[in-house]
Amino acid sequence: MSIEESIKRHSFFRDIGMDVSSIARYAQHTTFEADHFIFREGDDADAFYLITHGKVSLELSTAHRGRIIIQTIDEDDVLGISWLFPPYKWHFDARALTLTRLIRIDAAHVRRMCDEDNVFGYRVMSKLASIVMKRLQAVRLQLLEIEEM
Amino acid sequence: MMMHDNGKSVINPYLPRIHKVKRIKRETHDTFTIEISADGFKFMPGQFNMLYAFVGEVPISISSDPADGNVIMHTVRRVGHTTSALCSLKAGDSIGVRGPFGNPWPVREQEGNDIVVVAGGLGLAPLRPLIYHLLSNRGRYGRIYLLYGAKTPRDILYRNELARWRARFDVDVYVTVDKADERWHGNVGVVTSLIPRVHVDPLHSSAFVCGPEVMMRFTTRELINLGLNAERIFISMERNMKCALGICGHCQFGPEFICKDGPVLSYSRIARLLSIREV
Repeated sequence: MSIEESIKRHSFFRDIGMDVSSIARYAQHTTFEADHFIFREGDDADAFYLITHGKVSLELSTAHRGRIIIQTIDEDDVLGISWLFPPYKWHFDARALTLTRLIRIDAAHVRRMCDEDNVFGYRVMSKLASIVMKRLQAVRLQLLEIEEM
Repeated sequence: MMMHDNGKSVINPYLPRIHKVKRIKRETHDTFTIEISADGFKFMPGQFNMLYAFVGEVPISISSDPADGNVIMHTVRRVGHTTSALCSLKAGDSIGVRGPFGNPWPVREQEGNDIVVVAGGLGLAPLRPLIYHLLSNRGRYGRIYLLYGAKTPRDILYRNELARWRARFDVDVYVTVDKADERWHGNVGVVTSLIPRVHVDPLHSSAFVCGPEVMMRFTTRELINLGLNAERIFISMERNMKCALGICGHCQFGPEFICKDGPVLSYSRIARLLSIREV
């Protein structure tokens, strides 16, 4: 399957209603074995990832409690939001929990596309806002410790 | 002890029946399953008993297989005097049991449907008899999903059974925890984050949900977003049941008495009440 086809099939771009061939030119398949880091906190957020297979944990390393997993994300999810906002640095570590296949998309290119084509930019931002909202709600519920009975 | 009702002798519903404890199984650091002799006791999935450990009485859901005629199980979290006394029982000790009480999960009415079971924390306990029933009657239901959220990996109940159910090829089991360290290789996130993995026919699907009220509110919202009908989403409510007969009013929830009208209620019946702060 071509990378363009893989991008079109991913939930993020599936119903975006735009030609993704330009994105495909700045995208590449990448694979991480279990326990390998995809990016580390403080690194440049120069890409975002579409997970096509596997599971990724977002983590924080702490001095006293070791690594704390904040959230896990899976196949058909998007990995990475920090590429959208200055200073374009990752806020968490991302580690593959299983063998994970992703499509890496160059962030600077997508930001440029968003600036040049406002309709495309609006659709990308709407999709990302929806993801951010869902993750924010999930974090709020985590704070409430809703599984505690 | 017998009471008289219009000239007929009836068993006094306030009087506990004494059963023998067969085994106490530690499930997690603070949660135990008490196995008691069944002695002819019958119940339906979702019902509860009032357990009496000679220091007080508490309502506890029945967590065993309704088809098992030998043993009745109750999974108890040690949180206070009475539950601590229950968790400290030993094999051979006596325990007082009143029950079974309450409305069961409406399993027969959902035959032919896809089923989504969502449990949060100790909420898996009242759902376990339902899961046993669904799996014993697997051919009568469509797809079956079990979504379970625990606080941390060490709070996960019924680990062996979850593994066994997951090993079947006819039920999808997903587990998540709120918090974990790097030794955990499963999902981290609240139980609602598992709902996008559910692929059912919404017009022919039913859901059974049990957990803390906040979890049930958010879960039902997501299930409705998925297209499920509120009339076919069933939740098990928890209130401070005392008499278990719908008389004392301790467990009143709006016009409902949870001990008698519940604990299992359709979401459509109580959705409005769940959003009223004073209730």
